[in-house]
Amino acid sequence: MTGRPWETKPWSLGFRREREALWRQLARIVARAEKRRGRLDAGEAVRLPSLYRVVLSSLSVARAAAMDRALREYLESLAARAWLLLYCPRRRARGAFREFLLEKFPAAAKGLGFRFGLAVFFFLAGTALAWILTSTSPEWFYAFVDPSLVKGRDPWASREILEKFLYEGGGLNHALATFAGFLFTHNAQVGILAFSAGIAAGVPAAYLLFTNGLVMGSFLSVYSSKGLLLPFLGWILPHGIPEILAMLLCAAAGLEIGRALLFPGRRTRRDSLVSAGRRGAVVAAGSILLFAWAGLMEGIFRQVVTGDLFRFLAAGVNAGILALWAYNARGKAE
Amino acid sequence: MTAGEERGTVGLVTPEGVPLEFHLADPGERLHAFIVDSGLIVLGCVVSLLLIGARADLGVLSMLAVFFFRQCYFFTFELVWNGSTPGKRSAGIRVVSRYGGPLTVEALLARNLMRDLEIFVPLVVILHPGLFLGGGSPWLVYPAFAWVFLVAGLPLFTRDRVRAGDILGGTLVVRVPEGVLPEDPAASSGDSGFQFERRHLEIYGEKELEVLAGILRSLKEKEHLRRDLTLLAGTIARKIGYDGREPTSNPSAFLEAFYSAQRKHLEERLLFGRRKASKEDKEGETS
Repeated sequence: MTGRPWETKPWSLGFRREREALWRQLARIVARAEKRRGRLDAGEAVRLPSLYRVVLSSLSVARAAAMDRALREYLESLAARAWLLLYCPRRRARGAFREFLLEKFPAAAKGLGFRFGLAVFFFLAGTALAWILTSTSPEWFYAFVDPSLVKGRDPWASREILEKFLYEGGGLNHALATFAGFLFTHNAQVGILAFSAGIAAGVPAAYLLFTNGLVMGSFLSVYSSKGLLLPFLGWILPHGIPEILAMLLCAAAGLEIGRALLFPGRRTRRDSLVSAGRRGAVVAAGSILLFAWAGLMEGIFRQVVTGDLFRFLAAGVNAGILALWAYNARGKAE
Repeated sequence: MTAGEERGTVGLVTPEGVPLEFHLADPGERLHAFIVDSGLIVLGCVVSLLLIGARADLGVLSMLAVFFFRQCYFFTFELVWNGSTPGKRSAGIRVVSRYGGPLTVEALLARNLMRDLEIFVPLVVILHPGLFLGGGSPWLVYPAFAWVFLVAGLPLFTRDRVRAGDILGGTLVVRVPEGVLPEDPAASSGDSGFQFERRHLEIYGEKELEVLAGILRSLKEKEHLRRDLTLLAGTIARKIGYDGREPTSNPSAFLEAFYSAQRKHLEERLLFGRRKASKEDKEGETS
């Protein structure tokens, strides 16, 4: 093995020398963009994809043929940094919210399928059970309803007390906004937990629906026994329609996670959890908007408007808006 | 996704189909990031409460501000900064999609909506167990209690150090790679007069080559290594049966020339599909 010195050089040295300038060019662009959190100027944006592919191809060649670990590691980290920069979606802010509200959210909600039906079933089962039991024997009331929620509205309360509760309103004042804000943030937190606690096989979501159903059924029984069913519905429906829908959606998303955990089907459990989690997260985030709407209805509208007619009108409008929203999203399921 | 070669790494496949290996962020780095971020959240809450809270009629704004900071801080930063937050930036880590593509809104929502369950619920359980334990019958509460801590502790048990939010979002938290390209030790060897024959180069494999490359690279910083080089050059010469010019006359030139020749030889073998992993690897040996 005699000969000129260049013949004793490994092949990968020449490989590196021919391409190193391009690699360093990419490294400079990446380093500059990282400092500016991903922003690129026009020239860089043009060169980034082609330089990225140069480095990826160099990496593949180096992996296959170069006996130089430092070189392979450098190319690998450079390719990874460029990849992080390149596959960073350039999102347009305008239209994103509209798209979320009118396409992604309804599509994800439809994707819940029978889990939504199951959620409705758990809620109605609790409602029916509590209604029947409390109607037959009022002692059941305190088994279902937390004393802090009662505020005098138990089966032994007089019709006047019950009625007064439905129509007391302080008119418009600042405290109402605070009340609405409280209702919104509290309900939204509960909704988010109903979704996320789905990781416990969906049990907490089912439990939440059932116990909320019990409370609802107990109060329905109390008011209907005094002949106040219609005024009670007028009191609860304007905010109840968006709020109960949001709760059902969040809990159905939690049930979906439980389903993915227990019965992943043909996919791996991990992939199944990811698709349930992503879909459920969209549903839960969308439900936050419904909770905000419900908070306004409950915290302000209900306190200000005390006429049954207007209350039912508002409930009808809310139901109509939701129906239009669902109709608009038909055929957009995943 | 392909499995990482060693523990603590993970292979992601780019949309071009090239697998890239990332180092997973370790629990310490994630804790660092989380502490910085929660500090900022608390700061944000306190500042907005101080600005607004004094006026009772604006109480709703402070409530919404706290809700916003608690629920939207991570999501907003990760969305706008593409998987990074101030805390993650300072810890040198970031979120990536497990499937190699861009981070989607859905993935970020899922990973961040889970935070409440993973952080606030265990916190409440620890600080105020009565609130949790007093809330139901024991047959429901104790399994829930165990489950809460199982979920919160996921990053410590799972192979990819994922928390529940990462599982549902299909995301991973990795260290931001930083690479420097060192000088190629083969570049510096000139015509030193050391000549190697094929039989000299059939002894060592890739593993020894990388060790030698490491030694040659560190030579530039560590002068005190020079004395050991004579020993190393002598050992290698003996092992490969080198009988040319006396290696100890200029050990570093000998080692550089040997490295260069050895790498050239191994790369040429590799072109014919014959890989020699180490000196113990006798497979594909040629005479």
